[in-house]
Amino acid sequence: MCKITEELQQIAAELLKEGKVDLVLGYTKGEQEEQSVPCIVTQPEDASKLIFDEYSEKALSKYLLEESFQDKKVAIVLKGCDQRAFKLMQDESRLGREDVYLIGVECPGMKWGEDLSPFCLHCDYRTPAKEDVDSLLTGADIPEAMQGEPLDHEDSFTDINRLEKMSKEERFEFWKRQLNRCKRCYTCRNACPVCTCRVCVFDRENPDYIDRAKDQMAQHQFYHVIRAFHVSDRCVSCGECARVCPEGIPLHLLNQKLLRELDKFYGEYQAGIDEVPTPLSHANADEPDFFGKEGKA
Amino acid sequence: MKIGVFICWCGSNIKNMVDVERVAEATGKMPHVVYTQDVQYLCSEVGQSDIGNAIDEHQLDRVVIGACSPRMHETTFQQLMNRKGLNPYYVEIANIREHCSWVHTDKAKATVKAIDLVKKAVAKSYYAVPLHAESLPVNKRALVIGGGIAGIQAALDIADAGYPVDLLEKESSIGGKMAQFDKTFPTLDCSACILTPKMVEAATHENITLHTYSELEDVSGYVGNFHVTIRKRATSVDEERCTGCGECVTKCPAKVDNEFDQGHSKRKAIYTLFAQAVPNKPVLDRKNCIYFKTGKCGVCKKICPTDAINYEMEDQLIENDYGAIIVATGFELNEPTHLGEYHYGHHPDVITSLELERMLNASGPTQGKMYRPSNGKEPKRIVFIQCAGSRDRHDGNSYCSKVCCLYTAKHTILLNEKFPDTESYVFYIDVRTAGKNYEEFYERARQMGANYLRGHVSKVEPLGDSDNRLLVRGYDGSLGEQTEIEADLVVLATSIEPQQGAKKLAGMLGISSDRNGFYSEAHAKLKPVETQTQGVYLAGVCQGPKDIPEAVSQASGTAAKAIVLFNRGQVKGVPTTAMVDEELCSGCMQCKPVCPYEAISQEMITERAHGKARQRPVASINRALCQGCGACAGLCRSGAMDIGGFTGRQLLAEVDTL
Amino acid sequence: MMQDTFEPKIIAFCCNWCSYAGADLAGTGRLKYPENIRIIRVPCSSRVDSALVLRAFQNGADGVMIAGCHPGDCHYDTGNYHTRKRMMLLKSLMEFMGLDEERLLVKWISGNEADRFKDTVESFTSKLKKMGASGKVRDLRCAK
Repeated sequence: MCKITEELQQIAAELLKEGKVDLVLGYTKGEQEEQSVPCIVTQPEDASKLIFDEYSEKALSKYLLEESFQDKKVAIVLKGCDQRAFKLMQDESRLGREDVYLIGVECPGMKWGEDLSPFCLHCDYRTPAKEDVDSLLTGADIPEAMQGEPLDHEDSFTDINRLEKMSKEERFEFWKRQLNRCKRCYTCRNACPVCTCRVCVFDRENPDYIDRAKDQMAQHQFYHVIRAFHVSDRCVSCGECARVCPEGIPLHLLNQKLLRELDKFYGEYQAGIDEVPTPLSHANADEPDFFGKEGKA
Repeated sequence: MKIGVFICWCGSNIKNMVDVERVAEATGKMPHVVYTQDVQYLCSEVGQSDIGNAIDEHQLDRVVIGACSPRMHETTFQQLMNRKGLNPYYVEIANIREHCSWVHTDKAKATVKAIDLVKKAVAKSYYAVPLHAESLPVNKRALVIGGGIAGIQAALDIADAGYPVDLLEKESSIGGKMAQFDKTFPTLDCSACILTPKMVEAATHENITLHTYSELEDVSGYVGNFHVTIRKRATSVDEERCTGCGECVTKCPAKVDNEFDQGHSKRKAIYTLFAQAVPNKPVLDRKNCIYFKTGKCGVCKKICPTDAINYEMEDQLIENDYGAIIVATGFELNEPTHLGEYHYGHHPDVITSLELERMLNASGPTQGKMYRPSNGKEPKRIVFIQCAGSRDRHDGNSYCSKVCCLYTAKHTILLNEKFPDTESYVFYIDVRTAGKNYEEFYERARQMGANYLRGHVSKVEPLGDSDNRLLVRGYDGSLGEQTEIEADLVVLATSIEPQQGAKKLAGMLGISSDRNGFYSEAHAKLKPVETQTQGVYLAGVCQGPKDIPEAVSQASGTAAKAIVLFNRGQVKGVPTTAMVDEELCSGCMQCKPVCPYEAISQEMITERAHGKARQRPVASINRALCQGCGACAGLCRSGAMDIGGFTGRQLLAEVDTL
Repeated sequence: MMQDTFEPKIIAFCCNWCSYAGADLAGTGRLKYPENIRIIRVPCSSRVDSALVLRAFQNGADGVMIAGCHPGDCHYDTGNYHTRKRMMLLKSLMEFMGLDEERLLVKWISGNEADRFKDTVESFTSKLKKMGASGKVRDLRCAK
């Protein structure tokens, strides 16, 4: 058993025993070895179920918004990206810091199929800052590829470069192939830790952004463009959207492309690390004008 | 829902290019449209009564107009709705004149387009929501920031109308820059003689409260209801007790450069700004006071016959509510040390126009005598350099400071009158004399002997003679050759610039500045005294360089705006403001920084969910502040934010019909 | 052949204070431009969100135009700064997805620039005529 898991179980058991929290939200081993799933522990003796490893990819912070977690004292296991999401929810008045006990964990980098996640390779915030959490557990087994400086965005999301080099027609064909598989199951939306609207616009009847009566098929890319837009400047780069897609659509490329554009023109911003407002919530005279007399349009 | 559609011919303006009967017929088939009519002139009395009759007869609750631009007659039709007891926002206008009949040449195509435009308006009207403007009471008290001539004038006008005014001034006396001037152009009135009575009138006016030695600390609120905190700096002199006898000033041993005289005289650490200061009570400059520096001295306290000196005095924070704020913070003059070619700061005989102004002033440091700072002798030849830092894209400000041409003409005239044997040379780019009697004034200066040389001065340098005179090298454009003039004194017409703290103040007031740092008026032509923030008005040079009569008339303009507001007694917001769907809003407040009017704030609401009452945050709109731009609605991810008259649903309906 | 008869459909969102007024002035001045454009009045260009633009395309618009005041001239001070930021993002996302981002035109037109309004409509219309009908936004999901 790795060091972090060991300490995690210990802390969870203590917190529950001392009555400091009602429950601990963390991960446990799934049905398969290469799978970890969220789990809730309410009894000290069950703390031994908890683990943290390179399969603990699911972002847990969003669960805190659910009804069943209200009015309860909760301890939650957070890796870097998840803590960013938590911080954003806190900045957006969705959660109160004082209501939750944060157990920060050093992230060894999550699996992405056989390889390491490109998000983790690029990540320079694997471990939450000590002052942002109540306990911080470190000492993860860091794979060789994750040691040293994180990769540049360009080097880690190489698919964006590849797509950018394609002709417009090729890019169109690529996305057509991808989006054709979408069943609009909304798993990507549900997994995203920064998709936190009380009622999603796509679930609203009026105005029905997804015009159900009309051309069904045409609505999918509407959904994906809007989704990418809604998370663009708030994305915490956890990679969940693409990972959970049952059709394997590389949706994260849309968000990451937008992030790259935002960074390029408006300076780097990391949601959940840098202070709010997020880039799209402010604008000023000094920003580039793409549509002026000299602009490309 | 019963909709009536009315298509205007506008005489032949629409009818010649659009088949109005077809438009009426086509839109008549749309759901909920129960009545259609085409009318020769909808805006005429006949047209209006046609609509009115149809409303009565067919119990219409919504009206769609196909006519000229809504920017033209929207209010006409809204007023008709009001008269008919219908909400004015139940009328929707399709612009089939400016956007259709007038710009197209193919009648068939124009008719198709007109049908589209009217259908779009009908679709929009399906989702129309009734809107009302919010009325809020106005606090009938004004704050004027800046006690120069503009501020004084604004305060007097408002006070004369019977409303209380607080006049805020950061120095220890009101009067501003005008108090430093000797004479005013083009009449050569003595500046103090016309200013001082106004200062006294302001100080004694029953409706004016002076806050000198004070600065703005904080502003919140909105038109009609500003809440302001003023910091009154500690003067160390008890105003109530002090009689202004001046004993303390006489006996104070600490001498420092007198800023009011531009450093050409000394003042004491306890001092009044100038002889006619209002209020005429000294303040203690703690930075230069020996007692505050060393703990020893205390002469002023010992000598004061009324025991008014209080070293323990602290800054006071005064809080007040105002309905309107007038900004009259004036300007600063650029220190031309960065213009190396003029040698300012390196040779004592290179001075600024304001320094000259103080010298010429009978109550100035020399009692009106001219002297060369280097040796105290009277200068015989004076060179004036215009646009020192103005109209200079490279090393200065690109704009024109506007008043320099005239005050330099004034200086040459005054010099000629008082010291007939001095010679004046003026280097200029252009002489700008727009203004009543200004050209004549400039002509007079030339006739009296001032030598005007059109050209740029490339260098001012010490001549190296025994008298330490200066050599001015320049280009005389009229001769087309280089010229050199030996001068006893060089006077720079320095550039007018916004106050150092202008940006900070703008931030507090929520007003904007132009690229030169002057405050921006709401509209360059038609709203020259208003700002983007309702209830905040601009007077004087803080908005841009101007002369005294312009500053005074602008000040009276601001006063009129404030008086109008107070007389009306209430502010009506725009009806088409943002609105929050609390059910959808999560209170994330990403919309807050988007709002240019600070109209969005967070509010807690109580909600019952799962049998429990719970508090949660939502965004809340201050409808008095919101101007309805919709930047927030364009951002809101959840669609919780919407704009009355342009709701997401309405715009979608328009898009969907096209 | 097709290009001669094809009439593109253009939906334009014009801000009330500048571009809508500019279009009005084009009318008052009796300037002439093609009939293809349908103007929707919005208080400020920043009122337009990406959903409205996409919806227009999906409803068969061949071109969408968003017109606002010139930067620095916004009636609401900062609205068009938001517009240009948001629309730049939308255009780059469209480009990235292989959609014709040129079909989304963002233009600053002031209330006295009637000529600029006319020129913009003319050049946008002729550009769209050359490009042909916009299918992609609707076709993306329609497998053949």
